[in-house]
Amino acid sequence: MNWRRLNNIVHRDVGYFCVGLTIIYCISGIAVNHTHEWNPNFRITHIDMQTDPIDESELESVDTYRAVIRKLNIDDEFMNVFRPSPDKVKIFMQNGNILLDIHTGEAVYEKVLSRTILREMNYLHLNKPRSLWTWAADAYAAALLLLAVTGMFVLKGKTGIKGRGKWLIGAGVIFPIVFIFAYL
Amino acid sequence: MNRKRSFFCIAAVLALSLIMSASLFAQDEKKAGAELTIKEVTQITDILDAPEKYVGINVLIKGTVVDMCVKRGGWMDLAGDKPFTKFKVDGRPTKVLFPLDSTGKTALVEGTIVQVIQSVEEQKELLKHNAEIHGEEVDLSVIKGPKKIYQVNALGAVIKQK
Repeated sequence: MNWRRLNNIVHRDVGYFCVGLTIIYCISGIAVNHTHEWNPNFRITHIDMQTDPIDESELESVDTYRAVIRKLNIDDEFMNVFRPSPDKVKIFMQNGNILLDIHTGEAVYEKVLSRTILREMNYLHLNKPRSLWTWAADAYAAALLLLAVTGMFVLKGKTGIKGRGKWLIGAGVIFPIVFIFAYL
Repeated sequence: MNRKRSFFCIAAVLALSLIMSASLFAQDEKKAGAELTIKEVTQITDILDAPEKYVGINVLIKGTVVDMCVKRGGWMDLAGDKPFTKFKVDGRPTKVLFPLDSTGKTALVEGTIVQVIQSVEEQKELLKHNAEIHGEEVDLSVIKGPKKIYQVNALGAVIKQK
């Protein structure tokens, strides 16, 4: 078997294997690139609501907060509570929280919904699992490097690296260098 | 023979993936940063009562996460043991990022108490950032000038999931 045939086999098979992870990293990459414009992991909405005022004597009981959640027709479970000030109470639930004025009954429901699938993609892309995933991600990076190197030698002649290939590779190297000089 | 070998390779990759991902399922707690080394918890209100005494000292604090940066997980506020008190935990100086679903859960955080002087501009940025997260109006009139605050620069944290 000549080296080009081996090169092309490796490029093909490693390429197929990397399709799934490349899609994950690409979608997540675009999402987290725009963190300054949106939250790539959660969809957070705020809803003004009204319920009954709560007496100080009722604030010790967890049932009080469960009743508030039921009264506001929120389909969620009580988790914890915090008093940021004498007037307010913050009720934490599994998927959000309620900031309640105990004297007026005015409430702001902060609903927090996970962006399913995208959040999991970001979780992997940003190496949140650590431990063994770090090695898996390193192996994927090595596979991408292998794809880049083998990709240069897939074709021969005018469409190969000695032809148009060298110009496109050069342009692809200069492209990030220009940005480094422009912004650094 | 080739088909058997291909099947074996695919099965091995899937098995390895399942083993590697096993630790992600049904966790009782999530960790961030380094392992915790301090055993004794320092009460947040003890720190708030005399913060200068604790500057530069490594402590372990515990409290409910009442607020956090839900975009990147760079900081959290932990409720103190007395009402209306909370304490900031900052992971950004130490490159510790907290799990984004920590709000409302109990956290143990080990880190160094530091004193920070927040400029007027920094306070404005923080108020705008918080208002954006919580959909609130920004009230910049509360800023009186540079502010001295105390916080924990986190080295490690454990967030209880239940």
